[in-house]
Amino acid sequence: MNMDNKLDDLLIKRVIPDPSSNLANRINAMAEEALIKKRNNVNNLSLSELVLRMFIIPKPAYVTAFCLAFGLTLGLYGVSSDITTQDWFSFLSVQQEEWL
Amino acid sequence: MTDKLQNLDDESLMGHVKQHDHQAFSILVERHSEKFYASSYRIVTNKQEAEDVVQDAFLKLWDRPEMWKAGHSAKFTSWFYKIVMNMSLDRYRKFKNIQALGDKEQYLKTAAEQHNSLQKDDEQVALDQALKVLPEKQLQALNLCFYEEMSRKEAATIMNVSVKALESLLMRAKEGLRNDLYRQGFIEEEKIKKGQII
Repeated sequence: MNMDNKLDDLLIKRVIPDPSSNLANRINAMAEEALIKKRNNVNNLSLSELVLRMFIIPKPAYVTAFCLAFGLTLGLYGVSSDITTQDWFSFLSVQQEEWL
Repeated sequence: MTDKLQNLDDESLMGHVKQHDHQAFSILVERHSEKFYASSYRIVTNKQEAEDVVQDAFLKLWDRPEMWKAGHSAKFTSWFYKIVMNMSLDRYRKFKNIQALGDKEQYLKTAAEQHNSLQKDDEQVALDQALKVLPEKQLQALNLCFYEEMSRKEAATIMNVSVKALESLLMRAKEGLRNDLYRQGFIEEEKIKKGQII
């Protein structure tokens, strides 16, 4: 027999043992179990945990940056709307003698 | 509902799996578990290990179905085959490490038990031994083209190599096997000398 054919023949005849008959069932059962476990985990959360979950910030860096920018804007423009700029500067440049 | 799902192709079923549809997942498992078991067995050459690989791969898919991106991967089977192969190769490497540590007695005992239970003949046992010492890439190329009956192009894509490189791997794999089988006395010396190896 040609050597190539002989090797091919050997490779074709290679025996693969059958898998356990319940392999697919086992995988499906484990997947179902995992799903039930996941659902139970959500159901078993206490009220406090559920409330806490509402306050989870998905992007803390963005939220911090936004709050900072918002605070600065409010600080800069908000002050001038309540007190006149003149009052504000006269308050800052008040001389000690005048007070006394 | 189940009948309707049964008629769907793998890619559509994966869409359902992403919605945590257990029935769709079951159909995928029933459709492909044996095929992937055989693919894994050809690498790890151990029934229990191969079953574990398939089980772990499917459970990983169930846990994180978003890993499958319909737009990027043409066929579910080709994509999942890669996952199974990577996991099988991890186990295969683990076995090689066991060999390197000299702690292979238990593994060989199990392998021998398997051979006995399967009533493999000497040639098959010799072939198994020869396959075990093949480099990973060569073994993978041989499995893809010989057993999975994939085209050269498809196999090359899965392995991330060119078609030319794949052909070279196949040639070297067969050469390695012939040399090993010759050493074990299953192939005649004359024919090797005549240059009929390649």
